[in-house]
This record gives sequence, C-alpha cells and structure tokens, in this order.
Amino acid sequence: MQSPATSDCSWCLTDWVAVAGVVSQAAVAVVAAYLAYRANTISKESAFVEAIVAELLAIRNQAQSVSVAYHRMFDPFPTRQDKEDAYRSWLSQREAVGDRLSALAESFPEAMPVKRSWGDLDECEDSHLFSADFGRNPAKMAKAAYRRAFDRVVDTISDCMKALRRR
Amino acid sequence: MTDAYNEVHIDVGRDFAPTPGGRYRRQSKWSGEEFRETFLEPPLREGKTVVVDLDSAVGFSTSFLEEAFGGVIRKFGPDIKGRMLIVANARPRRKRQAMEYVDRAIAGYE
Repeated sequence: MQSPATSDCSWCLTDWVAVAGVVSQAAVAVVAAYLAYRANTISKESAFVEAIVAELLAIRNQAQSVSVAYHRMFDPFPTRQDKEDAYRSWLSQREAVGDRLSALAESFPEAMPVKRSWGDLDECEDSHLFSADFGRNPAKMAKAAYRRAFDRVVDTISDCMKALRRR
Repeated sequence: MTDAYNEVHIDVGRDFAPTPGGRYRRQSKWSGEEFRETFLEPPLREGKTVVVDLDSAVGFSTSFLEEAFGGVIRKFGPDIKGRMLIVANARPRRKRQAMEYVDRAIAGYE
C-alpha cells in the first residue's frame, strides 16, 4: 500500500493549506492577544500617569491654600479666637499636604523632590512664624526666603509632571 | 495624663494643647520647650517611662516636635529613648517625624 505522500501530491497540498490556515489563525490570535495586552498596559500606564498628574495638581492647589493660611497669620486679628482659628487652619492644612505627599512618594518615588521641597518650606514657615510674633509682618528677608521655598515647591511639581508626561 | 505603675500616658491634644505652638516659650504659647519641661522631664527624672500620644492634636509645627523630643535627648542623653514611647496610630507620619528628630539628636549628641 502506497502512502498518500508518495502516491498523490494533492493530499500533500490540501494538508499544507490546512496546516497553514491553522498556523495563520494561531498567529493572528497571538498578535491579537499581544495587541490587547499592549493596549491594556498602555491604558493602565496612561491611567497611572493621569492619576499622578491629578494628584500633583491637587497638591499644588492645596499648597497654595496653605500659603494663604500661613500669610493670614501675619494679619491683625480682631479677636484672639480668630487668630487661633487661623493657626488651627494652617496646622491642619499643612499636615494634610505632607500626608498626601508622603503617600504619593511611596507609590511614585519620582515625587521625592517635591516631598523634600515641601519639607524645606515647612521648616521655613515654622521658623518665620515663631520668630516674628503673630500679628506682625515677617521681615523682608523672611518673606523673600519664604517666596523662594514656595517657588521651589511649585517648580518641583512642574518638573515631576513634565517627567511623567515624557514616560 | 494617666500615671500607672512606672508608666505615664500623655495625650498631647487633650492634656497639653490641641494646637501646640513653636519651639520656645518666648516665641509662642504651648511651645515644645514648655511641653518638654512640664510633661516629659518630671516623669523621666523619676525613672518612669512616658508614652506620648500625638494623634488627637490638630497638628504640630516642626520646631515643636524637634524641641520636645530632640530636646529630651539633648538633656538626658541617647539612652532615654528607651523610656520615651511615641504613639500616633491614626497619624503615623507624626510619629515618623518625631522619631526622626530623636534620631538626629542622638546622632548629634557626641
């Protein structure tokens, strides 16, 4: 008995067409799976970047509120209670920013420079606040140092966002 | 503040001030110096352990934490760290910050 391979080439051709069909289907499936995986990865990465950018923007806005709360404490206050309320507001807001930055830096280490610059601003606020009495304007030098520290926070946030968008 | 056996529990927000101030008495009310001298040093001098709870205060200035906890190390020496337990379960960053000042004071002690 002859084998189909030696007796008839038509079997061979049919067989190879079938095999090629299966292979190409498998290839299409692999490519489709890869593309789906890439799309998923890119979408996850993009969602991550967007989430971090949104958090950085929120932190920047909150930092500006802390700055307003801080400067309010150098205003003359009608009552002692008003002064204490302003101090309370500054204490809680600055801590909220610090907490957010710590959480951010844990999941996204590139945010560490922002956290460090916030720490510098924090110490700057602290030293000026308690060296100039409440109700009195901080000295010109202190204001300049504060401005620099605050600008540094905003700059590091901008740098961080630029780095993220280049990813 | 509760004093039981050889341990004193201090809740800063409840026992001292909800809004602690700056570093020195001359700078602000409720300073770190005042807290250290009136709440931390007396029990430590008696050989007791202090447990300081930072949770209930509204917040802390960096200079308050440094003067209170770093100041204890500068005054009593690094070994006192074992008798000063800092607690902040709800706000763990406060504890980390306070411990950072303790460790910095220890590093600068000698």
